[in-house]
Formats: sequence, structure tokens, C-alpha cells
Amino acid sequence: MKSNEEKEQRKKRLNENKHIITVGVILGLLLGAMLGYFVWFMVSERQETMARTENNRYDSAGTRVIRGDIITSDRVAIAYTQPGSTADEDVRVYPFHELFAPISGYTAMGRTGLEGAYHRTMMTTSLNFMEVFRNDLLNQRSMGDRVVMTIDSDLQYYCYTLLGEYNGSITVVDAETGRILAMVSKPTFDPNLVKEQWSELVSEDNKSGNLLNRSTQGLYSPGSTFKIVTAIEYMRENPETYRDFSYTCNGSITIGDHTVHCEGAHGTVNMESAMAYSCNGAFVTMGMTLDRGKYGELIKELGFGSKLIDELPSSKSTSTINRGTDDFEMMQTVFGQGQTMESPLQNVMITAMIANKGVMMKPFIVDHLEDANGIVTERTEPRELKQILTAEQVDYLNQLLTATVNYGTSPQAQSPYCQVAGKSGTAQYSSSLERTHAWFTAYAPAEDTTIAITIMLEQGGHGSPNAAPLASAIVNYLYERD
Amino acid sequence: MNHIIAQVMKYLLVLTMVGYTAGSFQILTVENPHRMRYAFYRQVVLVLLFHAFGFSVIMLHEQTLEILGMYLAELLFMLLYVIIFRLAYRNCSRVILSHVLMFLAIGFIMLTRINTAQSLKQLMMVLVFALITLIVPQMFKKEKTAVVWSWILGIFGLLLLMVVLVFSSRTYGANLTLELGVFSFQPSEFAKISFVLLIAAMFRYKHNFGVVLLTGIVALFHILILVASTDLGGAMIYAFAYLFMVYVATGRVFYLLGGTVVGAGAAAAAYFLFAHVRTRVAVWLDPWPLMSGKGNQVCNSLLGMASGGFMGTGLYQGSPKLIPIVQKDFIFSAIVEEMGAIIGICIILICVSCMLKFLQVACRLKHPYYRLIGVGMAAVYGIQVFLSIGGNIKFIPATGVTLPFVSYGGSSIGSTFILFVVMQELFIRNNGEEARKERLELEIERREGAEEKAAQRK
Repeated sequence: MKSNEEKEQRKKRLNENKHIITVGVILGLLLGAMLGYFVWFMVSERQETMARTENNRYDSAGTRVIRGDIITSDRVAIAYTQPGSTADEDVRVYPFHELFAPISGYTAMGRTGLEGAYHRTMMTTSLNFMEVFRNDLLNQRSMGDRVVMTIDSDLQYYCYTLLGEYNGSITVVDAETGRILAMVSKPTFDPNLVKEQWSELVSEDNKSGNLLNRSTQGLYSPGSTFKIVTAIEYMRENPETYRDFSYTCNGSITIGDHTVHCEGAHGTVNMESAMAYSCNGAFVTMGMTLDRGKYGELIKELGFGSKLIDELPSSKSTSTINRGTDDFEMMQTVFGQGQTMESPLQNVMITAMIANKGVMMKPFIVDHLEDANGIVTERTEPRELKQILTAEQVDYLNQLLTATVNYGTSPQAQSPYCQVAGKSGTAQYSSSLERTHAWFTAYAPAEDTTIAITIMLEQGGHGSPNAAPLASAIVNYLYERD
Repeated sequence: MNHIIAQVMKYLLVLTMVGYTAGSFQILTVENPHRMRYAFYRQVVLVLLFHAFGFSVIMLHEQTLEILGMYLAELLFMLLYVIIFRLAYRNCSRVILSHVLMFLAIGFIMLTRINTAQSLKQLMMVLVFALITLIVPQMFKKEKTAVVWSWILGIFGLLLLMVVLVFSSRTYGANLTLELGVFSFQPSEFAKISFVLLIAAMFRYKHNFGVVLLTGIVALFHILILVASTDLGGAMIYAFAYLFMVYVATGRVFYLLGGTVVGAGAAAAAYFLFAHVRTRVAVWLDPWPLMSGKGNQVCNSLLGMASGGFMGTGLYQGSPKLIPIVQKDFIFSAIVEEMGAIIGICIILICVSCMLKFLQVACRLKHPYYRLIGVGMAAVYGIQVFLSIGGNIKFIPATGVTLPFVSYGGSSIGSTFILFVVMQELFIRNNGEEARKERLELEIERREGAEEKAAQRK
């Protein structure tokens, strides 16, 4: 009886207040949704926000952490911090001056290279709690984490001296994993002096591009090294008959109004001798039979138009080939001229793919991150990008590229220690025939793996006489140093 | 060394805050007056502990007598405020009172860490307004005087708003401030209280279409002045509060839905009319490309909160000062960065519980005038919290609204004090002795009636 009455009263009150309750529900839902969003942000967006390049919150971390080192795979420090009494007095030292500058980057005027990409890593410490606690008690700063590269310091130094007076780049990768073993770019800068030389480095009169890592950011016409790509597409489109290809070269080939010249008349060639002698006429003949859409797709598949490497700033290689490409552009592209622009890293990835049984690997330059005591916190695992070639295609390409070195245009690349396979390139970069970039790309067995090399000499003349000997020297060095 | 203290204190801060928040919900279930008193003391002690933990880090870092003096002054103020308020208004809501202390304590800690000089100024403002607003409940005790005050304050508030439109100085893109010598004064902060009072007074007897039309004109007038001074955050607070008040006064969903449609249309119009609304929306959609310009506050706010995480960096270990005007509009991000998201969640929960408490007070009141004041105040408070924190965390575009009691700013502190004290008075109307007596009489009547019925049946 009583409870009934109470219930009734309650109902009445509820009825009186239903409007206020509705207001409460609306406002409660608004604030509840906001709370939900806040928790969601903290749980799932937090890491992403922290990892943003705009993140400036680690700039003040120096009060408690000494910036970590960057070291090579053979544990040579190429960038370390000489601590001052406060973080402002710290000095970042690059003991090898120009040698690793394109990779390490700098910290003086903004941050680039690995200094930029791994800023957060080096400004935080993964040392265990007790050690950090002890340092805090003693009012000492803890050591930040270390970045360990895949670069071999001796090989890097050898390649650097090998380049000598040339401007350009040398890129050496382990074909089976994608590890970058050496990456040289010239002309470059001394990261110790960036602040002092800044106005000079970024001056509009400075045309030498010191701050450019030519291996990843430089884009050049690929010259005859691009014949490898044309050969791959021809083999794909004519799987039964490519071995029977034949062409008689009389020194030039004319299609419509356009004529492409060869260096002399090569006579009758098949695919092997066409590659070995770098016969433009044969490749134009092969190229004009290709499906332009599929050719463009292969070029994309090989990495053109994509970002190739995560750790360093890089430029995307470009190609204009598609279904609608006209004859002239196609004719120029198939032997490496035309609108195609390629970075040396892109070039070496294609060579490494052939050396790695047709599987393209993701290139990487940071092997792992570790704390100051050497305990690994994160390791880069080799990653397969794509199987591009069949075993049969790999064998035949290997035959073409060894022929090039053994009896073709590039005997300069031969090594007494092993069979080198490779292709030269001489890329016109202006209408004058004299002004050319020299390319050579090669692979060879070394120790227990296969290495791939791309040499690119700006205004370096011809590929075979100038660039190919450097490839041979690098292979010999790897055999002789042990 | 300081770093370790900051780290230890950060856990203690989180612990006391979680304890306080849990306690503030637990207290709602307490009915026994002795237990209630005990629970209230526990809450106050937790606030004082929180304040002490925060200030111990600040004192170690700054090592000046000034900080020690400020700490002691704040401690003394908080104790005295509780004692005096309880002496003056024995039946006040202890939950609301302890929340006031908690918000002030968080604000004191964060402001002192960011800018000691401003924090001192804030303390002065708090002292002045805490004292002045002690008399507010007297004004609202008798309904007749309350209504008179509502009209006077309402018209005065509207006049102030007009004055500011004419003699304003520009701060951060919006015409908000009136400079009076060394003091700057934001009438829109006070006018939102007087606006609620005025609307409630207008709905006092009738809520027919005519009155709705009239209040609509008054509301529109307020809102247009704010829009003209480009204070769109303020305009939104007024608009929402008005909408909810009309809905409760008339009980017609039509006004709520119609008002929402009109509001959405107005928001769209504002987007096309005002460039600074467009930039704020652009920043909200993707702040990162605008980080070096208009998106600076929001980007730094997000980076700060992300680097703080759930436990925070510890006081002085983060960089909240990277956010421009952090002490006013972005105080929530500063707190989250250095004290942690757990404390941020607790703050939101306490704000929600405050707002719900206000609405509960409104529900229990009988007279529509007071009920409407309750609803209006709850809406003003809830929407302000929503706009402030929501803008900080990029849930909605930033509108430059302060977080009540926590943000720096005398006008904000003053108006929030008035709001909370008015709500205390409404609470006392329910729980005061007269109300209790009345309820007791009703109960006796009801029982007697029941007995009579029973006797008759016999």
C-alpha cells in the first residue's frame, strides 16, 4: 500500500522533471562523447602524434639525456655528443667530417638525415629504471639510445676515396637483404661546420647541391643501364621466343622521322650481344614491339614513383611511360634517354633484384637501435617487396650482364676474384653529345652474399672507361681486405 | 634530484585525484549525516593533500619565499573559505563546495608552474570574489527580491555588453575586454549569469508563445552583440543555455529541435561570414600544415597531451609554455601534459558530476523561476566545459573559452564564483531548515491522512 503510493509519487516527480532530465541526458551525452574521444586519443592516437616530425617536445629532453650516438655496423661512432655542463653547451661531433654527412645529416640548423629521423630515439633513454634513477640521484644525465647503421665504415671510406675528384655517388647494397653497405655522395659538407657555413650552403649562387644526398635524392637520366628494364619487359612479353631475337645493326635505326644512332655498326646481334655491345638499334627494335601500358607498369613495379627508403629523405624516380606514350618518347626511353629520371638508389635496387634471384628487397640503412649498454631495442628485419623475375629470366639476364663484362663494352669491371656482371650507361643530360653522366651498375658474389653496386659520376663522361673500373675496384677491395 | 621528486609527486597527485573523484561519487550515496560530515572532511583533506603535493614540486624548483608565501596563503584561504561558508550557510551542498576547492587547487598549481606572477594575481582575484560572492545567497533568498535583482542584473549585463562593443580593446581576435586602469574586464563572462537570471525572471509567470517571443528577442540581442564582437564561443554558450531554458519552461520539444536547426544554420552562416571561423574549422580538420601559423595552439596542445600520456611528464618536466595563452584557453592540455591524462579524465568526471548535481538541484525545486535558473546555470557550465576541453583535445574547433575555476582570468573566476554560489543558494532552498520543516509537515499530514483512512476503514 505504502510502496504503491511512493511509486506513484516517484512517477509524478519523474513526470514533472522529464524535461530537466532530457537536458541532463543531452549535456551528459555531449560531455560523455568528449570524454570518450579524449580516452581514444590517448590510447590510439598518442603514439602517432608523438612520432610526428612536427614534434618539438624532445628539444627540451637534453636537460636529462645526452643525445645518443650514430655508429656504423663495425661500431665506429660517426656522430656523438661531447657533453658540456648543461645541454646548451653540448657539442655534436662528426669525427669523419664529410665522409658520412649525406647519411648522418646535421643538427645545427634544423635536423636532417638520421639526425632528423631518429631525433626522438637519440633523445630518449631505454636504460633500465634503476640506472636512470641512479643518474637522477647523482644529478647526472643519462645516455640516449644509439642508432646502429648497416654501413661498413671501411667500405664507406674506400668508396669515398675511390670517387676522388668526381662528383656523384656510389651505393653498395647487400642484394640478399637490402642492407646498404656504403652510400657516398659528393660534393657534400662538413656537418661540424654547418652553422658557420650555412649562408654559403643555402646561397642561391651555390649550384653544387652540397646538402643533397645524391644516392637517394639525385635524379638523373639512366642511360643504357635502363636497357635492363627494357630487356625484362621483352622477356616477359615474349617468353617463348626471346632467345631467338635477332637484329642487324648498320649504325643507326630510323622509325618515322626519328633516328637513333649506335656507336658503330654491330652487325647481326641477339639479345645477349645486343646487351653486351649496348646496341641501341636492337633495343629500339625490341622496345617498339612492347605493350606501352605494361612497360609503364613494370617501371612502376620496380619502384618508380614510390618512396624507396624510410630512414632518409629521398626523391621518387619518374617515368612518363603509359598506354598513350608516343613513338618518339618510347624510342628514347627504351635505351635510357627521354624523360625518365632515376635515382642511384633506384638503379641499384634493380640490379640487386636480379642478383637476388628476381626478388626485390626493401633497402634499409639502420640495422637496429640499442640503449647505451648495447641492448637492442628495435631491429630492422629484411623485407621482400616483390618477386619480379622467374628463375629462367634471372638466368638469362645473368648471361646478358656477364657477357657485357666478359667480352662486351665493359671489360674494365672484371675482377680476378670472381665473376662480375654489370651494365654501363652514358647519359646525355643536354643536347650536346659531349656532356654526359657516367653510370655503371654491377653485382658480384662477395663473402657469403651477393653485393650490388651503382656508380654514378656527374659529368663523368662514358660509363665503361670511367665508372666500370670503380666497380671492379670495390669488388677487389672486398676480397683483398680479409 | 628535483626530477625524482617530480616523478614521485606525479604518482601521488594522480592517486589523490583518483581518490577524490571516486570519493565525490561515493559521497552521493551517503545519507547518514555523521558519515556525510566525515566524507566531506575526507574530500577536503584530499584537496589539501593534492595542493600540497603540487606545491612541494613547485617550491623545490623555484626555491623562493614568494612561493612558500603563496602556498600558505592559498592553504589558509581554502581552510577559511570552507569554515566561513559552512558557518554562513550551514545547509549548503558540501559536494559542490569541495569541488570548488579542487578546481581552484588544480588551477593554483598549474598557474604557479606556468607563471608565478599571474598566479599571484589570480589568487588576489579569488580572494576578492570569494568574499564578495558570500552575500549573493542573501540576494536570492526571498523570491521577490531575487526577481528584482534578476531584472536589474539582467539589464545591467546587457548594457555592459553594449559598452564593450563600443569601447573594446581587441584580444586575440575577439572584442571581449574592457580596460579599466590596470584591470581588464570581460563583461561577457558576467553577462552570461545575468542573462540566465533575466530569462528565468521573464518566464516567471507565463510561458506562452508571447513570452517565448519576447525572451527570444532578448536572447537574440545578447547573441548578436557577442557575434558582433566576434566572441562566437560566448555566443554558443548563451544560445544553448537559452534553448534548454525555453525547452524546460514550455516543455515543448518543438523549441529544442527548431532551435537546433536555427543554431546549425547560424553556425553555417558564421562559417561563411567570418574568416576566423573558417581558419578555426580548418585547424580543427587538420592542424598540422598550419602549425607555424593559426594551428600553433592546437598542434602544441595535442603534442603536449601525447607526450604527457596517462601519468604525465611530472611538473616542470613538460613544455606547456609552447602553447600560446596556455593559462587561459588551453589550461586543460597543460594539466594533461604535466599531470597526466588520468587527472584529465578525473577533471572531466568532476565537471560532469557538478553539472548533474546542478540539474538535480533544479529537479527538486518547485518554483519554476528557481528551476529555470538551475537549468540555465547547469547548461552554461556544461557547455562551457564542453567548449573549453573539447577545443583543447580537438574534439570540436577551438573557441577560446576558459575552463571554469581552473583557467587564469579574473572575470572568469568572478562569474564562476557567482554561478556556483547561486547554485548553493538553490540547494539550500531545498535542504535548508524551512524546506525540511515544510517537508516534515507534509509527511505528517500524509501519515495522518493515512491513519484517518485506516480508522475509517475500521
